Amino acid sequence: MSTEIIEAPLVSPRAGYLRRKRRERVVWWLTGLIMAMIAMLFLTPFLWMVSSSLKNNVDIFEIPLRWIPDPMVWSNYISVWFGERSMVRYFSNSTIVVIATIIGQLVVVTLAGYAFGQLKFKGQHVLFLAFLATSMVPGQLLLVPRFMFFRQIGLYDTLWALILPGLASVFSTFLLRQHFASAPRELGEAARIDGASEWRIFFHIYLPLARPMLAALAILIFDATWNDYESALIMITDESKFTIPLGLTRFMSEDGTVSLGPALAGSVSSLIPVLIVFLIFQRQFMHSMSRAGLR
Amino acid sequence: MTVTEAVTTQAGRASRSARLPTPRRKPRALVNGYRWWIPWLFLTPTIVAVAVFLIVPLFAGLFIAFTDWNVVSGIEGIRWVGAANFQELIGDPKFWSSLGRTLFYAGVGTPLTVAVGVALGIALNRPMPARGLLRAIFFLPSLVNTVAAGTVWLLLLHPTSGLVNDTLRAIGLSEPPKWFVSQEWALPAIVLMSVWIGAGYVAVLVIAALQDMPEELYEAATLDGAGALRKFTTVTLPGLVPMLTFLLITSFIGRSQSFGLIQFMTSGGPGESTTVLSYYMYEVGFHSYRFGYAAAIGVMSMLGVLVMSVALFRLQRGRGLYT
Amino acid sequence: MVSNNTRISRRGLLIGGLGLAATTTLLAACGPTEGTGGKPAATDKGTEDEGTLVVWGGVAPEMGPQALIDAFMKKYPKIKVEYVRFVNNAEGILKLDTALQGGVPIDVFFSYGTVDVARRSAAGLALDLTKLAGKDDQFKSFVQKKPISTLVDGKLFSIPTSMYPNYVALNEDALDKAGIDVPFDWTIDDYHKVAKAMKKAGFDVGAYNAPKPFPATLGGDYLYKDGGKKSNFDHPSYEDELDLVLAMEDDGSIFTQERITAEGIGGYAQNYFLNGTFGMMIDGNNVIRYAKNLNEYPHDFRVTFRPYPAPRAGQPYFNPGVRGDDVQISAKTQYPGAAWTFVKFWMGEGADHMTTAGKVSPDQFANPSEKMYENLFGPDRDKLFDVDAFDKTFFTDEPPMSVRAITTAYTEISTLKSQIEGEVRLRTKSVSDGIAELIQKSDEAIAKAS
Repeated sequence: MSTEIIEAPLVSPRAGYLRRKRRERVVWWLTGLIMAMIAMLFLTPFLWMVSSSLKNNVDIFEIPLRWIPDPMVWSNYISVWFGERSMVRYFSNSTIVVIATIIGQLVVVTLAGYAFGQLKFKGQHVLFLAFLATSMVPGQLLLVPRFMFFRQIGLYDTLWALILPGLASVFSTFLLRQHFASAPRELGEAARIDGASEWRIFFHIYLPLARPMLAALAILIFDATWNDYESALIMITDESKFTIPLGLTRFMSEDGTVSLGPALAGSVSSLIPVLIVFLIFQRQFMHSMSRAGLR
Repeated sequence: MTVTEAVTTQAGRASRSARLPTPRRKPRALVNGYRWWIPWLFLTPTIVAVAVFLIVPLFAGLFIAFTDWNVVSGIEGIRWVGAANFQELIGDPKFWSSLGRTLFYAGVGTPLTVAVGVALGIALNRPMPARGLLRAIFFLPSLVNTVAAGTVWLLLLHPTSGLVNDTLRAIGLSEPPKWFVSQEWALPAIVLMSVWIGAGYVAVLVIAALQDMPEELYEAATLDGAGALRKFTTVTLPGLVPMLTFLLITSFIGRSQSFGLIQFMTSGGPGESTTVLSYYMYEVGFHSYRFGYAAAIGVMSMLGVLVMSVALFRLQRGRGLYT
Repeated sequence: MVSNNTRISRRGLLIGGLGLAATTTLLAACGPTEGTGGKPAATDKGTEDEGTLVVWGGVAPEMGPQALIDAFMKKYPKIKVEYVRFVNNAEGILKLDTALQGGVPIDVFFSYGTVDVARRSAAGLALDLTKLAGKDDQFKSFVQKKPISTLVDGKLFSIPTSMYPNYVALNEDALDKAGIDVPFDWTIDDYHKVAKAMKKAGFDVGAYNAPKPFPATLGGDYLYKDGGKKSNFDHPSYEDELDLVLAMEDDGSIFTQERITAEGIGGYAQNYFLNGTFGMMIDGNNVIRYAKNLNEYPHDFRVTFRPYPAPRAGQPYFNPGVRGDDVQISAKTQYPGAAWTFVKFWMGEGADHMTTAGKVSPDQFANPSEKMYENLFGPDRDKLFDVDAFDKTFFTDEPPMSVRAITTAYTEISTLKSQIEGEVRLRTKSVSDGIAELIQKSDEAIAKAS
């Protein structure tokens, strides 16, 4: 606070304002502190993960728990990234699958969300509910039939087997439907009167409105696809097509023992892209989830 | 006979043109301003994907539920047994106990996660330093993989040397629960862990919904003399209802199928105490190779979830801010 | 309401059409796949020296299989081999099963455990090797009168490629320091005493696990009596086993179940051995695989070996270990000749390559070579291992290894057994209650499976 040359008498509102501002600042810091402490609780498992990934296998279960590894070794990361069968391959496969899934799913889901949300047709409510109901099917029930089916149509052991089933996501369709439903009808109707084609209306009027939502969804899809293990385990056999979760299984030997150090190094490595993506798009994510206007 | 023809013949001829033109029904093709098949065209990729990757395997799965099949014997080994699997299910004590555990896990875990998430969301909506980073930290658990998260939590909840019990003992609890080692506390431990995983996710969505709430409502409440708690129950909470319902239902569905966590951490034990329906299904199918029976469990699970979801949905109708 | 009706029926048509499409696709998907199981490969597209093979195994390629295959292809240039590794957990095993049955081209595969062998053979997924083995000196022993491995319906469908006798691995440095002497012909009581001494010498607990008088007294089919019609848990040696485990938990000789569950020690026992938490453990050659890996498991003590302790001094008993890593040839293979050549190689000259992973073949067992020692123990052999003790412990036919013949409801019974044993060890169930429940539920499972 710079000293005022013109000294005004200390009128109560101003003093009150200062006091309030100071109190707000205190609250600001206090809230941050409390939340940070709770956040530490949430963060502890990650700290353990990172710490253990820098230890030799022998030391990981040492009791009492040592947060700073002694000795600290980078060998886990080196073997995971530069050793035989480096994770680079798995990373690239996972990236391919994730990007293809994001693009594919966004296309499919946007079209469907628009149809359910903005367009009118007979039976759309029933159809939508039925669609929602499909999300209740337990994944394991589908596993074996899907496997045999993919064998039949020759998609077994290809990355397509991981991409295609994820395209018609109920969750994403729902969110987009809500989004489109809350968009004003008049825009479309006006365009219709002017003779615009349905495709133009969708593509040039409503789709741009959904852009923020699509960005948010992209993050969620990324998150869900990156860590998928079960379906990849069943569908992929060729090691050159492994995704990251599968790649981590190679630290499991045939008798069930696990080499934890490298496995954790791999896990930490695989977390970083997701984290980065989230941090970058965080604001946009929040922003557009709010536009979802789930009403 | 088209509609227009019918109308014209019914009403007679010459006199028609003299009167006010009856509202002509638009040709059916353009009822909403577009052809009827347009929406279906938009839905085609979804329908194809669902049909191919969901409906077909689903029907196959349903079919298998009425058979006695162990996969290994191939197609020829499929024997129709009618409702025998379901009959066996009804008399199977392990089925009912797994069902109970699933209801506990989903029925307690979901509201708990959502409640914590809402609390976090509201808190994180306030101004504070490094807010973005904090939000990211809370969101982080939903991204981590099972092996890492599972191992860490096993250590945290270690009965004698784990952080949690150390803290509990420090605040005076002399005999803290034995968590994964005891049959009463193993499932609650899993619930706790699932809250950790899911709360941040809920919080993020709640923050988004909060930012969308109209300020005027809060101002109006303040003018009416409402305190913080009042504002919460009459404005915030109802405003969150749609989002919460969505979250409750999807989380419930997700949890009743959740399986990887339990498999890794407890393999259904100790004893049977964490064998939820999805794990039982896995045991029966992948260990005992009785896929018909496993499919029957899957069908029952599906029906149960359907019933609960509908119930949840009905429950929230009319309680929202905008309904 | 003509129009409305048409609308509904149009929607109905759509849904009906979908259903129809679904059913037809389903039928197509479930339609007969290439060939049916059970019938031996009708034709051999190759010869004994020519062909293309796909081999599925659970061992990571860099732990031996790839080196073996490279050597094989060098020797048989006209046979091309591709190795596919599957994770040996329930999903991976199922994946192999569905792949075999669903017509994925697999020529040779491995089954880890009697249950898998039995299931796949009974389902007709494996080739009957009885005749081939009978004609071949290398394999005659597998089709002799007294079975040394699992036969299904009296026929040989699999050949166990490794010997996995159980033995005790001990921390030699600790033994020396504490002045504990461990004879080679010791009993289970001696084991207990040594564990107590180790605990006194400073270890967290003396040993990892307790010896099992139940299989040691009865052999491979210890879980069953009456030829597999009933479970055998009322045999006195089982009660002895449970009592022993509880006693050893109580005096700090082994980990408590509580600790094992709490820390999820299951797949990481070797960590605790090599970081000095306990001083001895009962295992097989897998222990060597980890102990020689100084990169991931640095330690500075030497490992010595002793045979599986006897339940009763002077009385014959069994080694609970079995021959394992059964190789099987797919019934649908199109190159049975080349596949058999491969199997012979795996069991013969190729075996040295697998020793890196701790696998010792029957031939190597009979005639250990220098290369085998090199691969098994790695470069720091004498520093890390008491090889003399290993020789005395491992290369012996006494006690004989177990042979499993009965597999009725084996998986269910094993699951029940570990579940109930866990509860007994956690003290939530008494020994007698546990045994009673185990008998009742196992008999039920056997009845259901018959």
